[in-house]
Amino acid sequence: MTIFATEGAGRPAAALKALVVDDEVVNRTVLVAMLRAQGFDIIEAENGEQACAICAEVVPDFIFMDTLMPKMDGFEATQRIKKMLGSAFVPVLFLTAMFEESQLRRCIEVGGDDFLSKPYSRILLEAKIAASLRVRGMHLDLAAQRDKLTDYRDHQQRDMAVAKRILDNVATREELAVGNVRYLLQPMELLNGDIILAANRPTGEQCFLVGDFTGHGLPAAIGAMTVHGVFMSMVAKGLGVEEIARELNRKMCELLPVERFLSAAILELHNETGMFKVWNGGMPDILVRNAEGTSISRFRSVNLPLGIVSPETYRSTTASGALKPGDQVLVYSDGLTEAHNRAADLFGDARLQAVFAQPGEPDRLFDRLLASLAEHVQAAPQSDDVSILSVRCDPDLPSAKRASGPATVTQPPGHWDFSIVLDAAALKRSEPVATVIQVMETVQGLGALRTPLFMVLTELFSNALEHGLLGLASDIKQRPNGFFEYYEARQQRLEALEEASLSIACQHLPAADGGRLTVRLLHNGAGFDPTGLPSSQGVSTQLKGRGIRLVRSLCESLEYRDGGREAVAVYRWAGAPASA
Amino acid sequence: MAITSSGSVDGKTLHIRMGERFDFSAHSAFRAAYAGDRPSFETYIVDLRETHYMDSSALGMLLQLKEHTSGGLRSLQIKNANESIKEILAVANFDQLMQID
Repeated sequence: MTIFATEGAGRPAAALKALVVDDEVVNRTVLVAMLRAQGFDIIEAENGEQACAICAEVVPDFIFMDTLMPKMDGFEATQRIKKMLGSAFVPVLFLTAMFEESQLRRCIEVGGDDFLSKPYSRILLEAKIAASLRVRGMHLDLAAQRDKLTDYRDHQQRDMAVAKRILDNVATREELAVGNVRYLLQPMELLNGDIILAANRPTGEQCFLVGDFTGHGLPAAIGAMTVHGVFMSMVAKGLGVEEIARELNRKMCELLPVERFLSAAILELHNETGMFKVWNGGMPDILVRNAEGTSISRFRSVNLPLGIVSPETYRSTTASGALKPGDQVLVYSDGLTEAHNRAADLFGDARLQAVFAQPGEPDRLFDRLLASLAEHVQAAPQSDDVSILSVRCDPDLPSAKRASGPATVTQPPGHWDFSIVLDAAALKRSEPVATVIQVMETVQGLGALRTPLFMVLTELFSNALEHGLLGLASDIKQRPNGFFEYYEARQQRLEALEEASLSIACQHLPAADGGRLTVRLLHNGAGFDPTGLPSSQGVSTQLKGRGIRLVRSLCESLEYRDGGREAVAVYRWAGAPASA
Repeated sequence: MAITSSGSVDGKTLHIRMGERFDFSAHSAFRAAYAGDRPSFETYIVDLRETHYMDSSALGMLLQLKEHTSGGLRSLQIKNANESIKEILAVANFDQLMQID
């Protein structure tokens, strides 16, 4: 028979070391001869004490143990050796002249693996050895697998920790560290399947994205990197909520397997005017609480989550409204309402409402919400990522004000002009201001001019579209809840718009120490009465005409012609550009 | 997790009846109910009468089934969902993708 066949798979069949413990030289000699014939290397010990000493030096692969010996018997030696070897498995086969069952049982009790009574036959001994080696082989395989798993787990945890650091570095929280924002990101595992992003548009709006990937861990984290990149660059380009959602949907369709998607809420808040836009696809209702706490309105999810519908068939709906100073917006992932305690009782919508319906400052309410959540969940294990974002409308926020800075461009002033013309269909699906700014950025390099130009174009475009083509009256905004009505009407009328043409023409000429940009907006709508427009000096708290005052304050001149159908604004900038 | 699926006598409808929990633990059984060497049907019905709990991975599984049924004139219907599950489907706006009644 071949004993080495029972060795664990994949290990080289090197000779096994057998420790033979017996005080009788004759016994040892007989056994050693048999074992040598089977290919064992032999170490001999005359008593238990010697056996222990040897095992402290070398770990044998097999031990053959006599029971009664001087100095230390086989029972005690086995006990000590097994303790010394710890989790390493070395079979101990007792070879004993005793026949009492209690003694034989003791062989096993002290840690021996089997016993054989003397005198024994060679065949029986070989069978016992083979059986013990089979167990030893299994033990070695298991230990190897365990070590491999431990290594793998350690490795994976290190990788995850690095991934988390990268993710934390990418998702800079700078824009979230603003006075009117509070948030909680509480991942279930090391890596979060939820994300909260914030960025400011060139025109000063705060933009936010709260997202919840199906699944957690690494796949979600990789997805989050892409979402971050798309969101940040699109907001910086001044693109709106609708465009961001469309682009993210395209990206997510491209990246994610069919069963994965991203539920998200995308918000945009212009703190100075309170103008608020929201896109909700698959997130729980977004709550808006008025400053007094007397009303809570909800923005339901009306869109499919991102990454489900192909870009060709993608449709989405954005809601808008207007917030008053102190109004609070709350966005959260379903991990909040589905957070459960040990009794599997969910935190739920009712508890959330109860906190939110209390009087109090937005920051206090946010703290109370966290306290209420902690009190409910207690020490129950978390089963989903929890994310909460609270934004308070704050007109005094520094970033809500117009960005100011030296008006320099990055290229020497050039001579260029271009124009774009949009029909009704194009107006419905595009935000031409961002496109125009992008072109100017490419040909001139706008630098710090970007923000004021963005504002001028946005105001002129909104006026032309909303008052000129859609015939909306600014008066609506004066009414209570007027902003909601206004933007609802805007959306309806835009959808119904059929015959329309709007052109934006930009001409730039170098001037003595800078440049002169003429922006001409022309449309074929009914026009509006420009005589009642405020001058830049007029101080008014009215929402009406605010945009025109802004344009006048930024531009050298603003002129309306043809019954309000044509607007011509001249923007001058001075100061030598960075040398090219 | 008990999932039973049965094809109709005329071979046109596959009826998949979910167990109490429709979450990731149902993944392989759910897939096995329609994929692999199963024949193709005209209508796929996912019956949730016994289902009390559903999570976002279940939404993902429905999307996989939706993809499986796309092409041709095959339809996918969700039936007998309780109120809380209907709410989950509504928040995700899955009514835009499949028939829910």
